[in-house]
Amino acid sequence: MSLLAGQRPLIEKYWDLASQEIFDFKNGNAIVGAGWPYQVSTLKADHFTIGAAIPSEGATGWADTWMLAAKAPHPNCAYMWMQYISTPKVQAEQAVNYGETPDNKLACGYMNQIQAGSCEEYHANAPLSYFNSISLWKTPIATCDNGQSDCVPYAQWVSAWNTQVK
Amino acid sequence: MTRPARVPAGRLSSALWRRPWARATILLTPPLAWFVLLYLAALVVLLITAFWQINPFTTNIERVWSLDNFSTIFTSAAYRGIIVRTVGMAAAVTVTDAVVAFPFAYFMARIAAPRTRTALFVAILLPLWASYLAKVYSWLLIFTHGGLLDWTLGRLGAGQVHLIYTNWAVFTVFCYLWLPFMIIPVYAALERIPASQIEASQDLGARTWRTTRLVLLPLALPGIVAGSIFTFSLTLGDYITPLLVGGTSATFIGNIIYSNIGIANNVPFAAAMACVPIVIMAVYLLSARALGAFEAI
Repeated sequence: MSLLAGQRPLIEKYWDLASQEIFDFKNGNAIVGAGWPYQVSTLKADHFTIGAAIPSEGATGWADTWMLAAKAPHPNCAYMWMQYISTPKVQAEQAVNYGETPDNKLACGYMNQIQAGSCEEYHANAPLSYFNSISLWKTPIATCDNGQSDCVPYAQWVSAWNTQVK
Repeated sequence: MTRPARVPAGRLSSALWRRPWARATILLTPPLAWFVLLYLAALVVLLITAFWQINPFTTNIERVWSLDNFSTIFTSAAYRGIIVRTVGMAAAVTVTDAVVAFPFAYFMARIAAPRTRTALFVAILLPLWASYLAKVYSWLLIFTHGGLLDWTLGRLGAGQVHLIYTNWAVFTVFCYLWLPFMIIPVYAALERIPASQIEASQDLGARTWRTTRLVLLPLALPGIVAGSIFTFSLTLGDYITPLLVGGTSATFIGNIIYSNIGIANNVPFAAAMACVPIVIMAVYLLSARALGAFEAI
């Protein structure tokens, strides 16, 4: 927290929407920033010169998940949808459209068919070491993994962000 | 004197004419039900929720009564700072809009020819038809690095000014957004002042400034206060403008409510925070009533 608060004077804007970061890079309000592959590929598509790198400290990331409600009226339908959305072709379309890495490795070929070089660009064929360099998002809860309960739940992180950083 | 002729009426209308209470009940029930259900009920739910907590693991609301949310707000220097910043912003926007609106409304009400007046009314009301977001985004294009402001200043040889992502940008956009809400009540108040009172003041030897200060301003004050209710309360609750044109210190009451509902799923804390502008506005409205503002709306 104190590290983030110390960085604040160096920062122009904590962006809330991906479109804001794209706007800021294009207009010269930002020269360096944390972002998603989506912003990089959108800017590159607009012929904006930009590169992305993972710092030696690593990077954070998250995986979007499909959830099934316990009281869903048609759970079989939902399972069929999940099966469909996990197929390589659909995964490839989603990955290229949204700029995400697909879960299904077989999507790679289809991705290159839709957009040449997109498999590599979205790290669909990256080695395990690449994924190990990313700390995946995990909702913080009060009970830690080590059995202690002195960790900080999510709502408290948000209030700390509002009161100590911003 | 002749009695007014009895208009032959249907059975229902004559029945209602004989029972004024029934007429009033039928007229008032639908709007009153709407008001109680949608306005008061929502407010009561909000107030009650503010005394509850969330489960830190599931973020489900736990109906355990406590004052924790309120004590967090008032014991934390950061939240108190955010409240002061929000009220300060709302006050600054209100004063600026009043200062800009007064001469504008005066020109419209007393100097402009009817055609000019109509044109000015259109100019004031037209932005209200445009989308809020479109207006804020267009300000972003004005403030941005190399945007319209930089371009104009560059042409004038005045160098560059860094306004984007500062609270000055937030202030400017708020002043722009809410200005029509100040001009219209001030115009209504100025239009109502009889010309004879201004002439009487001049006949008694008062010059322009003295007439403005002692005659126009006191008579227009209810209009200014009525306008200030809009500018003040609209600034107090807005979070989108700070989010879009504000920088690292553009955290206002609305942003705290937004992030607690939209990100942390902490509805009880957001509800407690929402009580702050409600209390501020209640105090504000009571003082406005004392100044006679409600006669000018």
